[in-house]
Amino acid sequence: MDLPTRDPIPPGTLDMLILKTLSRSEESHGFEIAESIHRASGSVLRVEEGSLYPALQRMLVKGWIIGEWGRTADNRRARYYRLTPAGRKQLETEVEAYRRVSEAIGLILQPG
Amino acid sequence: MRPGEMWRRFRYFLGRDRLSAELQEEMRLHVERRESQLVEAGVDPREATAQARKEFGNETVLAERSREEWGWSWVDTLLRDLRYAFRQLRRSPGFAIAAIATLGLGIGATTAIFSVVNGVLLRGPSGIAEFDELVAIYTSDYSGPPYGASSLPDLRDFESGAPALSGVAAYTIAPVVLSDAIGSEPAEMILGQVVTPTYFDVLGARTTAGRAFAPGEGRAGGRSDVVVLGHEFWRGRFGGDLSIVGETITLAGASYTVVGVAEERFLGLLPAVAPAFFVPVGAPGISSAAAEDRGSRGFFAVGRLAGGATIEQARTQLQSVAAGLHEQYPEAWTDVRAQPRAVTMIPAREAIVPPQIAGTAFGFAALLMAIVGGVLLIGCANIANLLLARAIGRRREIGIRLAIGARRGRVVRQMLTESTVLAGFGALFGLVIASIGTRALAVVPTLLPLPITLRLDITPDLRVLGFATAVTVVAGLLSGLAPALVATRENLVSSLHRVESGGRRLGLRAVLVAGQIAVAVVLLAAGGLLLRSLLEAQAVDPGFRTDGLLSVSIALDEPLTPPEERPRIRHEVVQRIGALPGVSSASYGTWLPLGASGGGRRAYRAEGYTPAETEDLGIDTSDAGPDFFQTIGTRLVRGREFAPTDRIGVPRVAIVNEAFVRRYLSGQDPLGKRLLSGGDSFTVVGVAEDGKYRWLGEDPQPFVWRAADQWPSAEDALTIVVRAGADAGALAQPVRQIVADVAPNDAITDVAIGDQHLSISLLPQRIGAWLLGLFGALGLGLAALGIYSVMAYAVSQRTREFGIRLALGARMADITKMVVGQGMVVCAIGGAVGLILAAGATQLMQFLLFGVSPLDPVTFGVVVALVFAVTLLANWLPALRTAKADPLESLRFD
Repeated sequence: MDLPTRDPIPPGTLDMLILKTLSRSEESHGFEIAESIHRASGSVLRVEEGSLYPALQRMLVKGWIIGEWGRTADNRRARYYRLTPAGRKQLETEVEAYRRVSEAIGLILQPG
Repeated sequence: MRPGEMWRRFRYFLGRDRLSAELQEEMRLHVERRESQLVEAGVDPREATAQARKEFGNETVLAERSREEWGWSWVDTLLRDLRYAFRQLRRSPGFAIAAIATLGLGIGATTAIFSVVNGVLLRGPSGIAEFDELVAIYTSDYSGPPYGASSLPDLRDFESGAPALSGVAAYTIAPVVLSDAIGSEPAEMILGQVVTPTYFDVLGARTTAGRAFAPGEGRAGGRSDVVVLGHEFWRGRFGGDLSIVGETITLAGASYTVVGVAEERFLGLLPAVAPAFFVPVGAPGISSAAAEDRGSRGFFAVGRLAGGATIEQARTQLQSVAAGLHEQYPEAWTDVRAQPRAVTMIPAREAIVPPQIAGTAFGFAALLMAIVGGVLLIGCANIANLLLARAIGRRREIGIRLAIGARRGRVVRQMLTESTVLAGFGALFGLVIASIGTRALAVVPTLLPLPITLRLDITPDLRVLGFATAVTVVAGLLSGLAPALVATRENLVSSLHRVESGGRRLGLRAVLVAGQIAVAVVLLAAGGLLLRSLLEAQAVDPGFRTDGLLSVSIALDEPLTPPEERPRIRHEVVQRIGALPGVSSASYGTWLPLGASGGGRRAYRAEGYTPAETEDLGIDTSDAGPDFFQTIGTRLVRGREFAPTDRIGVPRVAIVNEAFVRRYLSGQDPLGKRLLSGGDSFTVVGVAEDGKYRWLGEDPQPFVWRAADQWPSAEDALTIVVRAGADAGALAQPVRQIVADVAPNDAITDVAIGDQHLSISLLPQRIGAWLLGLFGALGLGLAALGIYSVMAYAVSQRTREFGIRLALGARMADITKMVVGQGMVVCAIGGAVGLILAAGATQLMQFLLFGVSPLDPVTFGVVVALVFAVTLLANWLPALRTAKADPLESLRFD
């Protein structure tokens, strides 16, 4: 049984991960986003699956993503999310901020 | 928040039911996908379902959190709280009605008083453009006070010498008698305004029809026989006929061309006296020729600040103009203290109430607001007490809610919603009370014994609405906060157990009751002092006998009743009135002391008296006919009355009062002494007892009467006085008729029977005593209700305790005594605090008191006795009820 390892994603980065995931694909529904984060992290990160949805709602309200109902391959109704230009800009901001912070943390953690 | 986001949030709000369902569908799909993924990986299907769910998390909580992201959850919470509050109130309609009525009375009374304060003191005149750019301009009075009227020539110099002002406008009030000349039957006095030609332009006032004054009108070389009608007057007298514009009407015996009709809301700078018409300076028959004298100051002026100019600049410029005027016209610009006259400028908004009386007016307003505020506070304390009792009844329910995880803030918020809903309904009821109250208060000015009707515009505006809303919210919070905090503070565990904590600990409720008593004592003390003032003032001897006296004030119309006609009119009126049955004597004068308007001031010097260098010899004076003193009931201590023989051509005579003799003729025989006034000289023929002339509280002032028949044309005012044998009121109609017959062109401005004549000088005390008495009684009643309900509740909680006491051998009388005693201790504490507060508060209302100390022991004694009696009753009744209910019975239950 291949149960995935699960490290919780660092606090405050969920939005960024979702935006990044959406920037890679044309459009995805919730489950695909969760899966894709999991896969892209080399099966290290697992989104607390439920918490995806409040985050998606927040980003919808902010206008970073839009959601439209469509059909899955097996003909199920699902809401597909897509990045907006505002979301793309937000992603850049967040990535840049994240880089700055993690470089700083890296400096502190340098051995010696 | 960006507009796009606001719009999206709003759409989420509208579609939130559909969106919630979509969210649920989406999450279900997610769980199913994970489930099948797990099954594919070889997990047992049943276990897969459980695991998928577990991994996903609490779906309800997640949905809730998602919805919170839309930013509307507070609306749902509020709606839920509102529904809950309504349900709670429907469940106990008796409580709801009592609470709504109490809060309604408080909110209504507060709003009514505020509407009046707003209308009279805060709201500026309407129909004026950019009111805040206007500044009020005053020239100091001859005797020194700064806020006096200005003269026309000075105002023109102000306008040209102060570039910081874009214009100056001024008005003076002009009474005109309307007679059949324009179809007025009976003759009536109306008030108009003589205004500078700049008036409409500077104020930015508009006309409904026609135009305001054109350039040149009201100026040298231009026309002055033009009139702009007041809107109300135009509607009332000309039926709102637009074709009147351009027509000619007769005012004060002269022909005027109507050039326009003022806009409805424009009532000039003194809206309390809504002008019937506006005529320019120089208007024939209306505008006095003396208005062009520099020394004649009768115009109230405002200026408009030029764009970018400050009031300081304008002030500096005016001051240098004034300094120049003082040099150029030393006589007109020097006052009685030999000081140059001063020019004062303040923002017009601060001059809505004339600055001379602003202190008193705002003090009185603050007093009234404090009083109704006090009543509202007492009401809120009552509601708080009732809510508290209910909250304690709901302790178990609240305990359970807290135990299963409700946050305390959430429960408090819900309880506050309930009290605010009560206050909201209270406010609706309060609006009814307020509209009745303001309507009643709006009648007050029409009751004033003034020659004209004052207009009291107290229609509510946005400010009143805002005030009422704020009061409602505060009342809701005040009544709800304490109960909510107390109810949620209760120890969780003990409230879930059925532990009856003893009712002996009244705690917060005792504090509320004590507070109510304290406020009621303050209200009653204030009301009592005003009532005492009123009684004291009514007991003051005005120097003439008002019982059985009838006085009729008449405005004489200059062109239609020429001066040479006046003696004949007076004599005929008095002669015919004297022949009426029930009349013992009748006379006339220009003025009856303590009258609202009229009476003059003139400089008199007793021969032989050497005044100090800057002494003001101005003395109050009026004219009187034969038998005047006998008719009004003033005793002559020396000499004689005026007689019909005191007429033109005979050496002039005068009667002075005792104060005059003391001041100027001390130690001499006053009879036969000579008085000098301007170029005239008088012989003193009589000395009258001292009386009150301007107001009832004044110290004895010197006064001089001239013989009216020696000055037949001196004044436009005439007062007929009639002494009746018995019923003065019955004479009012026949006397009116005689005046109308003999002088059809002259207007009766007031008929006063008995002490009605004094009512204007007692008005503040009368209104104050009436309102304070009413609100004090209301406050005490509410407080008594509060005590009663708290005691009844406390006693009912202690029934078992009483039963045990009885079983152990106590007598019912002991228990009653104990209960009442405990209640009275609380009341006594409240009363004592109230007395201390009242002692401070009554110091602040000294300006309204008359012949009574702010710490008057009689008033305070009566208040204490009254409060004691009422609280004793409110404590005793519930105790008595318990005794009747037989507490022993209660032991048999449980």
